[in-house]
Amino acid sequence: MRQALLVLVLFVPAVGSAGGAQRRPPASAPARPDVFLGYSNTKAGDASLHGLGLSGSYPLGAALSLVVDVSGHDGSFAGADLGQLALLAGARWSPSSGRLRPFAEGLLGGVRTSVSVDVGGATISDADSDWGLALGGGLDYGLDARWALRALVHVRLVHGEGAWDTDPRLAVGAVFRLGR
Amino acid sequence: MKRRMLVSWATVVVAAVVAAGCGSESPTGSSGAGGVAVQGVVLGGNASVSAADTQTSASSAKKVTVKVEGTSLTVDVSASGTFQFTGIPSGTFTLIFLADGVEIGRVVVAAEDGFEVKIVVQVTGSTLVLVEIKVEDPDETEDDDAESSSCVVNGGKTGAGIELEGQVASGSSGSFNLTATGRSSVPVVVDGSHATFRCNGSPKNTSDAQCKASVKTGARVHVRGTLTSCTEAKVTAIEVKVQKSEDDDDDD
Repeated sequence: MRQALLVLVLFVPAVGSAGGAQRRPPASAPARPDVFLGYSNTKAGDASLHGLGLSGSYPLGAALSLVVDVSGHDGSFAGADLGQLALLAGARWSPSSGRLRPFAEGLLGGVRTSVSVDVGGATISDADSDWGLALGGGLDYGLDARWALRALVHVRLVHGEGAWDTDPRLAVGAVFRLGR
Repeated sequence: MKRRMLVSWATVVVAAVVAAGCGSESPTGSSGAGGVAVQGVVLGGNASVSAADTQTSASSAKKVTVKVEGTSLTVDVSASGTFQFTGIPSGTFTLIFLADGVEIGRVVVAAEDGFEVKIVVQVTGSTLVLVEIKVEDPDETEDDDAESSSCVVNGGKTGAGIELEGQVASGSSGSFNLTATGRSSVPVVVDGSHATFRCNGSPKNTSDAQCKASVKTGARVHVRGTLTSCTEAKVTAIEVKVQKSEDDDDDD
């Protein structure tokens, strides 16, 4: 729930200023491929994991892009070390091309979760690969023609061990726009 | 028009975040503030020891549920294998593990109010293996030396691993009192219900049942496990080695 509040703090002022931004002529720019790298936080069931997110997008039209998203997280829970690697791909819809660019995206792919625990000098480890679906969106704040700041939130649905997890994921970082 | 679009988008995002925040938490994993908290991890049947795991388990894996016996507390183990309880009444309680609704094992835990129990188990087929259990008192984690010196079992610490050697004073393999001379002035209560039994020095064809049956009053045993209570000298055993008895020597 603390994460949800964090997102509200991040996004509500941003949306407010998005309205303000309309009063000023936005620095409009055509859709371009971009690369994002940043800090990422997610939950794996009851465990909170930290890591990095890397994603790239390629425009398919004025508002639609193809997205590939890789993220790696780790953390500990109940004395065990948990790691999660996700590779997801899908589509992103971005209705604005100004300084503030909100977007929504839907991604599908695989999530590999590994667990290891050290007991009496031996390490017991287990790993599962499961299907994953991520739905969410975010906001880009353009710093100049090339660079932007991004905050995004996903709701990840992961199916494994006979159960469905609904885990939030938050990421903040920098975007580099390619091309002209 | 554009503003309306932005507001719609923000509403969707906020709703998604709120839904995600509530997502994985089971409504029946808590009975309120206080009590004992349990954090657990369930390893699948593909778990490997001291090696990189290259196997993957299909999503045909059984759904694992954990219940606290005698209460309404129930949680489903998440897709990543984690589960959590809060507010379990202090004292001795039993965690019941179910795979697709069928009981596969129990773990008895003794913990006082405010304690945190960290447990790792492995589900292999229809059996449950206790890998590790730690019972921690959050208030005393910074004073390990003081805890060790005040523990009924010399050198022991609640939630930490322990090895004891001594003579069975009473009981049988499932639960017995151990006289651990030099380590404890009171008999140590050993829960052997989830332990592996080995008969040291006995013929190799000794069956598991025969080995368990040899745990009786007077038998010398070596116990490896976790000290679950310093004040009550309780140990949950992972392994019990029954030493070669004098009767066996006579037989030789």
